[in-house]
Amino acid sequence: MKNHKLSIIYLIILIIFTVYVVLDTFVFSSVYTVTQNKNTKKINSGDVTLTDNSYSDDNIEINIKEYRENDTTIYVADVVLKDNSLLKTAFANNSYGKNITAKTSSISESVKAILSVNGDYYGVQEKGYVLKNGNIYRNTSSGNEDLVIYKDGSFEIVNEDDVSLESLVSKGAYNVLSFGPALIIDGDISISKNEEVGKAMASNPRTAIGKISDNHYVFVVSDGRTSDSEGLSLYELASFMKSLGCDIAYNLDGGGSSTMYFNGKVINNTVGGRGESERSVSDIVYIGY
Amino acid sequence: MILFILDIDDYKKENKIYIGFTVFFVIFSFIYELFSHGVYSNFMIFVFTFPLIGLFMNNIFIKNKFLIPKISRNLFDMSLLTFSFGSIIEGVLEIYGTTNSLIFVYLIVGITLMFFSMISVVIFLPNKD
Repeated sequence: MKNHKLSIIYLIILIIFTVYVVLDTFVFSSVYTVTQNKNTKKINSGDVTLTDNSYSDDNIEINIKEYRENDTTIYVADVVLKDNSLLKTAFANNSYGKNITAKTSSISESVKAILSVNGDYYGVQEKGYVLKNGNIYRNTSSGNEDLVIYKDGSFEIVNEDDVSLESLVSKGAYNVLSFGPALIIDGDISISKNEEVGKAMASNPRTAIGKISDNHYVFVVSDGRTSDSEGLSLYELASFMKSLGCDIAYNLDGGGSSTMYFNGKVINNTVGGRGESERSVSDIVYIGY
Repeated sequence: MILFILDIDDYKKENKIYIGFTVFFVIFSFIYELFSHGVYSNFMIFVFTFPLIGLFMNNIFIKNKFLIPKISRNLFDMSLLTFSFGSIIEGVLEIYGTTNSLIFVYLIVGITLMFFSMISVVIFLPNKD
């Protein structure tokens, strides 16, 4: 024991530091910026027609369909917009910061979203572009492949190492999603069969967004990690997005984060049960006024 | 006091500690990976290599009857412990899909301790002549 006195003291210091690192990563939160919505354009929705799986008004048409592929239930929201400014993103608690999270459904309710999916969970990364609704919040490159959503509603896949966020904004970028990878580029699957997000090697719940044509988008969420649904590999997700006719498609944060919200309800089986174990996330992508 | 040379029995006792840590890390990382939904991290899977390196080095010392100062041994053990903790935490972060710049502290401290461990061998080892 006496021989190890110094080692034991050091072990205690090491444990205290490790606890601090864990708390710093997962618990300590700080708000850097409270968001301000630059978009002050008031758009009138006109007459609304709403069913359990559809929504339509003068500017938005949404149809929700369920598919069954690869032993997995997949939810597809087909979206046609007349005004592209209705495709938006939102932060948890309306704030950009560290460990600022809320459930997709809570964020959606706070911004009165008609349809939403979880976003890129920027909050778990220290780097990577964060551009939300025209505002730059973080411009440090993580080397990620990003989805750029321009003001005119067009999509583009870029690599953060190849282009600065400021130059994207000067070209009209309105939102940037930094997760990836890109699933479809110019109508072709852009990933290999074995490619995965980071170190994920199994089928999982997934979230993706795609563009079929001008003003025509799809939001896709698959179940997974349940007895009913195995989940999708990235390549299976990419194949599915291609089958929907996407010209461009991009993978968002998945796993426990995967959530689709429509008309006041979570419609997919979030991991652990329908709506009961919905994970809190940093941000969402949504359709709303 | 902390500069005395450990005898060969102390080295054999150290072997048990290294084996204990190696087995613990193998079980720990196996269980952690079991519940990580197919997300793997080499930092988590191979954390057991650090005590294994200690075990390997310890047996080289025993075989060659090369007994180093206690302070050098302590610094060497602390270095391996730092790398092990850093490896586990990096594994946890990778599996969750997040990062923390503080992780470099483990690497820097581990390398520094290893460096001073080697320096202290040269400084404190009695001249056999």
